[in-house]
Amino acid sequence: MIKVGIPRALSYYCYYPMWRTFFEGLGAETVVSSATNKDIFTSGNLRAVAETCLPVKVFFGHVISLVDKCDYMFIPAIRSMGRKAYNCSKFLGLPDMTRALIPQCPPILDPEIDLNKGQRNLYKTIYGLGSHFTCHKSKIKKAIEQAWKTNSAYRKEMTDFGITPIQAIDKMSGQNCEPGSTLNLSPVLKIALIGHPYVIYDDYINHRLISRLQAMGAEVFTPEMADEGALDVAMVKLAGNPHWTFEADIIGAGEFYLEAKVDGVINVAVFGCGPDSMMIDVVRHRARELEVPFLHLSLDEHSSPGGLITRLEAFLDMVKRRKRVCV
Amino acid sequence: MIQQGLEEIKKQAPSEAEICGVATTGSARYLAGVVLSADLIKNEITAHAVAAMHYIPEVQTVIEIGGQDSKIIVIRDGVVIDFGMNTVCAAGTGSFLDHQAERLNINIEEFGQRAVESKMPVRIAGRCTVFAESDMIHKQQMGYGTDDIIYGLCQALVRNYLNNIALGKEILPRVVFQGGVAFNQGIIRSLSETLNMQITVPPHHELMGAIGAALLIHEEMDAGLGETRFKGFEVSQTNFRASSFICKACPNQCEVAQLSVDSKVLARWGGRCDLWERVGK
Amino acid sequence: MRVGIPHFGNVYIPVKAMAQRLGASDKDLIIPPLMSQKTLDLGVKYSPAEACLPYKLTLGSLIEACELGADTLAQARGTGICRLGYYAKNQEQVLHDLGYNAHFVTLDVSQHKFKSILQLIKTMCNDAPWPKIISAFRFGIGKLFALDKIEKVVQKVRAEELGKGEANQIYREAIKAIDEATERKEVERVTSECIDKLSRIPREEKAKPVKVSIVGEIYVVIDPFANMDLEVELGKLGVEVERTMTLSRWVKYSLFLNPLGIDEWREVHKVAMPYLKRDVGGDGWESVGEKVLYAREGYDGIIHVAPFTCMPEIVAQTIMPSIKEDIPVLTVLCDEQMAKPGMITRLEAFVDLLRFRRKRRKG
Repeated sequence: MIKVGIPRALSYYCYYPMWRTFFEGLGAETVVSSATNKDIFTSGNLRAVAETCLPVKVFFGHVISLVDKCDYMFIPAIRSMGRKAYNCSKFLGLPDMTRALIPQCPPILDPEIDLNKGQRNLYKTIYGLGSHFTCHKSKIKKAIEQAWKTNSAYRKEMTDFGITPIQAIDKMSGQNCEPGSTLNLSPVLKIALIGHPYVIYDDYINHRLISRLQAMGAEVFTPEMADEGALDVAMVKLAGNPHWTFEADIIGAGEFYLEAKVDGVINVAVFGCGPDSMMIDVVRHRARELEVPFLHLSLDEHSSPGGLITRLEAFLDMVKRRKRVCV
Repeated sequence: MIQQGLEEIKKQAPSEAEICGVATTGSARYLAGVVLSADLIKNEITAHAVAAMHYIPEVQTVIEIGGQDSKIIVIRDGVVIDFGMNTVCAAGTGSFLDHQAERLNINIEEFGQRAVESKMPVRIAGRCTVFAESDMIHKQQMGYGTDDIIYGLCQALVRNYLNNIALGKEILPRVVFQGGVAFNQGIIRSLSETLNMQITVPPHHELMGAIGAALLIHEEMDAGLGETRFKGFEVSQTNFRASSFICKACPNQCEVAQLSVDSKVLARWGGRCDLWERVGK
Repeated sequence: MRVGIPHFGNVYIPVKAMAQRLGASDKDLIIPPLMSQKTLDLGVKYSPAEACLPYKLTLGSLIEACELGADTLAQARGTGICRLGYYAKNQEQVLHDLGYNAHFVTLDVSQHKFKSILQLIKTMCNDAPWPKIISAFRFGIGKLFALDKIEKVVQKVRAEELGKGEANQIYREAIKAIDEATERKEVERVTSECIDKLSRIPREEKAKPVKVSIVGEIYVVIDPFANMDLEVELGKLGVEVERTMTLSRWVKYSLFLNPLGIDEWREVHKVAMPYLKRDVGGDGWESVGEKVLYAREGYDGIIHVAPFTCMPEIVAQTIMPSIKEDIPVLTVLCDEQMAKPGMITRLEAFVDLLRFRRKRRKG
């Protein structure tokens, strides 16, 4: 059976179940890298240009860890999921950057996904991708349809049960979904955590941010737990038509949760993220308008958990004291 | 060092004094908390804010520049509504000045005095000590006066502080300046000139974190938290053992630190995951 | 309506010329002071810390324009990937917070450029009749083309002149004279006189100077304040500079040749294909392709300039080392913390390396 490597980074958190269904539908097996750890980060960091943002460095590390384990590496170049909103340059350059930095990588499957070009173009691209595995167009078509269904089910799992992508993926694979909360007391504070999924859910990058917040007595709400349509509406309300594909995760989620009257908003971002540097101020401004405490965390590979814990504690203290005063 | 401090307190405290509550703060607050069986472990941002508000109730901005880290705390109507901490590096902190004072062979205490004497400060590039150093050497070679260079350094630190830690924060009076660096007249002058506001330095500015933590535990005990968990000054004689080991549970190979008394493990820290924090409790 | 524009290379000169032809006064078109440390400080103060340098500089420039009374601000925007699409949005908010009641008119520089340029001009010219606009436009553009023509000569002469600095002096005088010219004939006269003067500067009687090309993100490639007078410094080191990106080239293609289906980057993209298959926004694809082309044309080296954290250029920077066409590349990242002495040191080392390589290839 042909093995397709899927690095557990970047778009993995948005689309893995869909990809797995697609490739399995074509008779291939998907191989996913393990969760980010020091080795993975170090191997990626050694190759990437210093100014590259941390999630992309981590991505390269994941690819390196999969190099001997698969026949193909799946790195789609996701240009746009529609509405003339585009993805950051790194996503588009990812396949070629990988080729440049990791010459020993097996052949890269890099279909370019641009929903603005219409459904026909999309299908044409995916047939091209599928042709590596089968010559039966009907089989590919069936795999695509199953994959779309899986994607909708995946999103629904997260919005219906308020769980994270990692929990949803485990659940959909039949594994036991850990409650994830090590809480003894019922949560006192509702905290929205906004940012890119590959930062929010990668425990290596964010030093177990979600579990720490939960242990400190916060109920954590992330963009994936909200309905996509609602996020979209919120995003357009706050900033007009989106410029980037993931604006809903930051601007949309920010506005949505602020309107839902959370007690505080934490934006977890990575140092050097171009798009975030422009989007954050929009949400910060809005939080100030509504007088909701807002914390911007800028993480990089040198961030220490100690500093992060201090900031989180101070932020939650601030939120608690405000709540007492304002209530 | 904690035990030494405890000895000092015991010596200075009146013999009839009864310790009703213990709080710890600062980057080593968890370690200290375990050693002292503290009743409250509080982060230094909240502690600094509480102390500042105690001395100057109308405070709206707390500027804290310490040796290795710096903070800004925004307070409105007696409530902390925003804060910032240095994130990328130590550019807006006291270590920047220590380093340059050493280079110039000047006592750090003299540093501040000389800065105030300057009439025409020199602009020094200042993202980090390395760049500032090369620019400073450049200016020295060009013949600028030492006082002017020193004040230029103070201005560079303040600029860094305002451009990084304080970026986007609304700074309103009263502005309270605390932390170890608040003794430096040059920094006070530079802050005052740049912000065009009066800068207040409270008494005991270098201990505001501790004072804040003390105020907080006082508040909680008054509200009826119960008996203190502090075991008494004999703790200063206890044989604590600090050790570390490499965890082999996963490829991260984290170094885990632990504190024990006799053979009982009191606490562990340092892993990326919470494996060791849960074990042994 | 008082129009204000941010600084970007010499763009203020043709815009000023157009405005004057249409009878506008100093109050109708506000050109902020030439960019300085003050502009940068202003921009940095009111920008997110990690915003790119062109954002911070144009913001500083626009704030200075508002300080002088501008209420209608021109800015570029792009659909697509790089942060340019967000400039106007965020900058407008910042200016409102500062108390300026300014609104933006934007120029789309990534698609429908022809239409967008015409719309912008019509708005800025306060709906004057087209024949007048076209005449004024021709006058303004004439100045831009003249300036770029002179600059190309200066880039060569700087490297070889015996008395360092003479070419720059003549260039500065020409810029001033062209700015003050009120007739097309005068512009032409100044241009030919200047080029004549440049050709008569005594040159060094030595082997051909080291030749480098400057590639990267368009704003920092073109604007001397943003790149800390990179080309002047290279000239001092005896290096001849070549640059594909100029304002006049952009105007020429966007207005006249693109609508005819002629894509100025077609060849560059083609040679980039084995290394980068697709557009990654900004000028990333172009930077990769230009490395290939300049290597093939026998240039000695490439200076790759980009703002710190510029996404498309990080992609280019990652891919460049794997390009088989071998040519040394020096990456210069521009941000507000970059100090000139630091940049000069690296340029000196790079040029030494290029000279050494040349000697080795000959010997």
